[in-house]
Amino acid sequence: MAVPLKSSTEISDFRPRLKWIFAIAAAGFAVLIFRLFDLQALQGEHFLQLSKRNFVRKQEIPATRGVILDRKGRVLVDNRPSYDIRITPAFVDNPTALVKKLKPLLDMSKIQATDLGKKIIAARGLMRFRPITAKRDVGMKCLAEIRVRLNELDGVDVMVRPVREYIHGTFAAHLLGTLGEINSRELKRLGSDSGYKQGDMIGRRGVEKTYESLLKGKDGFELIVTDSKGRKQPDSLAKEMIPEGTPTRMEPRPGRTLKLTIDSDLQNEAEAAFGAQRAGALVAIEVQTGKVRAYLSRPSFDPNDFAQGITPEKWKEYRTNRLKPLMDRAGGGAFFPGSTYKLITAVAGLSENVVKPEDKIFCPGYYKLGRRIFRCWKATGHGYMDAVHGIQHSCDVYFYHLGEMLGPDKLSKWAFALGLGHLTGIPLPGETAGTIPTRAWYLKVHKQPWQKGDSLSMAIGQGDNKVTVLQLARAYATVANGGRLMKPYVLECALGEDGNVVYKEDPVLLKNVAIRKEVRDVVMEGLTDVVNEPGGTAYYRRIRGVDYKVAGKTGTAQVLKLGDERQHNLEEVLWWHRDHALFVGVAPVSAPDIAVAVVVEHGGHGSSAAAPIVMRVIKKWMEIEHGKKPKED
Amino acid sequence: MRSGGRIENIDWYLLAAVAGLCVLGVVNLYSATRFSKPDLYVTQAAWIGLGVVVAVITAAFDYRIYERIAVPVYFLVGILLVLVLVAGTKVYGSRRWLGIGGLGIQPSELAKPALILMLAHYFHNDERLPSKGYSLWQLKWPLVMILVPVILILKEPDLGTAGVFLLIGASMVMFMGVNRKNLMVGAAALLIALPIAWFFLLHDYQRARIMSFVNPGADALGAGYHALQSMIAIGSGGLYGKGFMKGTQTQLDFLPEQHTDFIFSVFAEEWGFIFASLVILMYLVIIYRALVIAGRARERFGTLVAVGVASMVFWHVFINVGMVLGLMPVVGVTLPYFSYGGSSILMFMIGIGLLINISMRRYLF
Repeated sequence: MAVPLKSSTEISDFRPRLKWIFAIAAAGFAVLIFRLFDLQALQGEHFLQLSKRNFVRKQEIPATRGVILDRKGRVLVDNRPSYDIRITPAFVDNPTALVKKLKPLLDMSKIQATDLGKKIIAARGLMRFRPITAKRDVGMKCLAEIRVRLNELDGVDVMVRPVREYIHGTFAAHLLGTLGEINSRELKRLGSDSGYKQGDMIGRRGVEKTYESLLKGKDGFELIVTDSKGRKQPDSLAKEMIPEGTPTRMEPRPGRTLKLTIDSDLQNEAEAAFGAQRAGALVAIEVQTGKVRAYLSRPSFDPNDFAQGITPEKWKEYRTNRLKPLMDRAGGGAFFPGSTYKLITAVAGLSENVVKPEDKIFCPGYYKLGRRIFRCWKATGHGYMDAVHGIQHSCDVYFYHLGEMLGPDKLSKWAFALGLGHLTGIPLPGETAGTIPTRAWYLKVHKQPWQKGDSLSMAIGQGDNKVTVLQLARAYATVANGGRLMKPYVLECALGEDGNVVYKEDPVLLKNVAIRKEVRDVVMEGLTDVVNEPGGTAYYRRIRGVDYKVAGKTGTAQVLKLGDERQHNLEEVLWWHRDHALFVGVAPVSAPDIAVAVVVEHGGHGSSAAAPIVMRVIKKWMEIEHGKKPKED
Repeated sequence: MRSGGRIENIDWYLLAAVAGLCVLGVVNLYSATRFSKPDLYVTQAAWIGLGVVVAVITAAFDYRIYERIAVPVYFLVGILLVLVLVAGTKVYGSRRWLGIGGLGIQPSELAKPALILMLAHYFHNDERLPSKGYSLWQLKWPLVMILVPVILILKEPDLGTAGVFLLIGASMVMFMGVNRKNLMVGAAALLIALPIAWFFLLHDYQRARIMSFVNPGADALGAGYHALQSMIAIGSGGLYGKGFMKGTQTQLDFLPEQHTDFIFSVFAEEWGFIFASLVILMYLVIIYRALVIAGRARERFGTLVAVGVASMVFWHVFINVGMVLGLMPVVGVTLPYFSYGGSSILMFMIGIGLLINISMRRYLF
C-alpha cells in the first residue's frame, strides 16, 4: 500500500500550526502555574489555617456536676451514666435494614422506627456526620444486646452521658431542687465566657440553683486529631500534626461536692412521719445555729423527672395538680399560724410589761370588747389563767387580753423582732416573707383604720398574719435560745476534689432580740406544760419513756379560702374545708437544740395531726444527736 | 519498508520526563495511601511495568501498521464501549468498568488512543486538504467518529472522559484546519447546544458539580466539598510543602479520591509550589517533545498521531490540575502517570509508545 508522504506545502502549513499548539499548551500551563502560585504562595497562610482547623478539633470534656451529701457525708444527689444509642447517618449504608434491626432491640413503635429511618435518610452535608440519638438512657439488658451486635449495626454507637440522679427520689425535693436545660436567654445573660453552652443543664430550683456556681465545675477540653469523618486518630499521629508546645488537653474540674446541713435520718423520719398526709410542710432547724436539719414540703415531686429535661406529660401533670407539688411550702408557703402565734403574743405581752407572768386573767369562755363577743375555743371557760397556764391551755381569752393591751404596734414590733414578716434569708429560691399586719398595711389593704378587734384576732393568730413554717421554727428557736435570731442555712461546706474544704458557711447571727431571761423561762415553762402536764393541748402526744422533755405549741388555723367545689366529690369538699393543723416543738427543754415546725394542710387539729409528726422527728433527733432512745417497757 | 527503527532516534528527553513523572507518581502514591490502601503503590508500579512492556511493543512495530488496523481497533473499542453499558460494573452509580478476570479496565480510557488512530487514519487518507480549511460538511465523518463514542461515554455516565474525548478530537480536527466561517457557525451551534445539553443530557449530580464549581465554599460538605478540600490541601502546602508524608489533608483523609483524580493535591500539599510547578513543566516537556516528533514525521499519519497524543496529555493535565486548583468543575479526568489506575497508565504508555515509534522511524524513507 502506498503511504503518501507529506507534501512540502503540507509541511509548511503544519509547522506554524505545531508552534501554535505549543504556544497554547504553554499558555494553558502558565495559567495553572499562576493559579498554583496564587493558592500556595499568596494565599498559603490562609489555607494553612483552614487546614489546621480541618483536622484539629477542640473537643469539650464536660465537668461532672458536684455531688450533694448530707451532713454526715451520705450521698443525696449523684451522677449516673446514661447510655444513649446514637446513629451517624454518614456511616449507614442501608437505613431501612438498620432500622429494621434496631426496632426490636430498642423496643420502638412503628411510628418511631419510621421517623428514625426518615431522619437518617434526610441528613445532608455536614449533618450526615452529626449523630442522631435513637434512644436515650437505655436499660442494661438493651445495652448488652446492642453491644453484642454492634458489628452488624453500621453507624450505631453508644454514648455515655452523665445524668443527675436524686438517690431518694422525692426526698427533700424542694430543698435539693432541679435542673433544666439552659435557654438562650440565660445563655445571653451569662455571657460566652461563663462556660455554659447550648444543651447544658443548669440549676433551676433549690440548692441546685443557689449553689449552681459551686456545683457546675469547669469543662475541660482535648485537642484531637480527626480525619474527615470526625474519627479520632491515634495519638502517635496527633503528635505529628499538632505543633509542639500546644496544650493538647485540659482536664475538667469537677463541680464541688456540697455537704448540706440536712440529716438524712431526720429527713427520712420526717418523710415517714408525714405518712399519707397530702399537703403540708416541715422544717427542723438547730436552735443555736440556724442549720436546717430537715426540710419537707408536701406534695412532693421527683427531681429525677427534670434531670434529662421534663416530658410534656409530666410537666402538665405537675402544673395541673391543684396542690401545686412544685411549690416549696416550707419556705414559700404562708399560712395562718393559728395558736402557734400565741408564743409571740406572750413574749410581747410579758416583755412590754402589759401583764406580769403571775397576773391572772379570768376566762369565762368569751371575751367582751365593747359590744362584741370574742369566744374562747373552750366554751365553758378556763377560769383564772396566768401566763404559764394561758400558754399551756392555749386560752384564747388570756391572749385576747394581751392583744387588747398591746395594740397593733407592739404586736407587730415583736413579730418582726422574732423574724416574722421578713424573709429569713435562707439561701433557697422562692422564699416568701408572709404578712405581719401593721396599721399602715391595714389601712392600705382594708381601706379603713385598724379596729381594736383586729388586735384580738392577731393575738391568737387568726388575723391577717401569715407566716411560713420556716419562720415559725426559727421564731421558736429564737425564744428558746434567749433571743439570738439566726439566719437559717443549708450548706455546711463545699469540698474540692481531694476532700479539702473550699467554701464554708458559718452561723449568721442576724440580731439579738431583747428577751429577758424571766420572760423566756416563763414562756418555755408554758410550752413545756403544753406537752408534759395534764390539760396541755398536746399532753397525749408526749414522748413516753424518755428522760428529756419537749416543749411546743399546737395550732389550728381556719381555712377561709375554698377551692372550686363543684369539681370535687363530697369527701374531697370536706377535706378542702378542714382546718390546717400546726405544731411547733423545741427540745430538749433543759438545753434546747432543735426546733421543728409543721403544718398539715387540712389536717384538722394541731394536736392530733401535727403534733405526732413533730414528736417523731424530735424523738429521732434525740436518738441520733444525743443517743437517747425511749425505754422499752 | 523495514519494520525496525533506529534506537539513536529515540527521544530521550521524552523518556526522561515520563520516567521522572512515573517515579514521583509512585512515591507520591505511597504517601497518599499508606494508611488506607498500603499496597496500592506496588500495584501501581506493576501497572507501570506492564505499561512499559506495552509501550515497547507499541514502539516495536512500524507505526504505519496502526494506520491499517485503525479502523478495526476503533470498532473493537466501540463494541467494548457498548458492552460496558450492558455488562459493566457499577461504581458510584456509573458503569465505567469492564471486569476481565480479577482486573478491571475502563474502555473509555483505551478508546482515546483508538480515536487518535482513527482520526489520523481518516485525515491521512484524505486527499482534499482544502487550503481555506475544512467546512463543517466536509468534516461530517470525523464528527461522527468523535461523537458516537462521546455519546456512549456520556451514557455511562462519565462527563469528564466524554469532554476529554471531544477536546482531543476537536484539537486534531482544528490542527487539520477548519474554515473560519464554518468555525463560527460551529461555535454558534455549540452555544445553542449547551443549554440543551444542560437541561436534557446532564444528570442532576453533574449539574450540581458544575454549579458547585462556581462557588465551592457555599456548600462545603456537599458538591463543592472536593474542590474546597483540594484547594485547602494545595494552598496549605505553601512554597516548600509540608514534607513527604506530612500533608495533614492527605494523611487525615480529607481529600476525596486522593489516589486517583486528586493525586496532584497530595503532591502539591506535601512538596510545595516549587516541585508542583516542576511537575507541570515536565508535562510541558512531554508535549513539546511530542510536537517536535510531529514536526519531524515524514507523513501525515505520524504527525497527526503525535499531535493527538500531545493533545491527550495536554487536556488531561489541564483539566485535572485545573480541577484540583478549583479552576474547573470536578470531573473524573486522571493526571497522566500520577493518578492510580491501570487503564490510565496503559493509555498514556501506549501514547508514549506511539511517540517513540514515530520518532524512531522519521528518517526511514
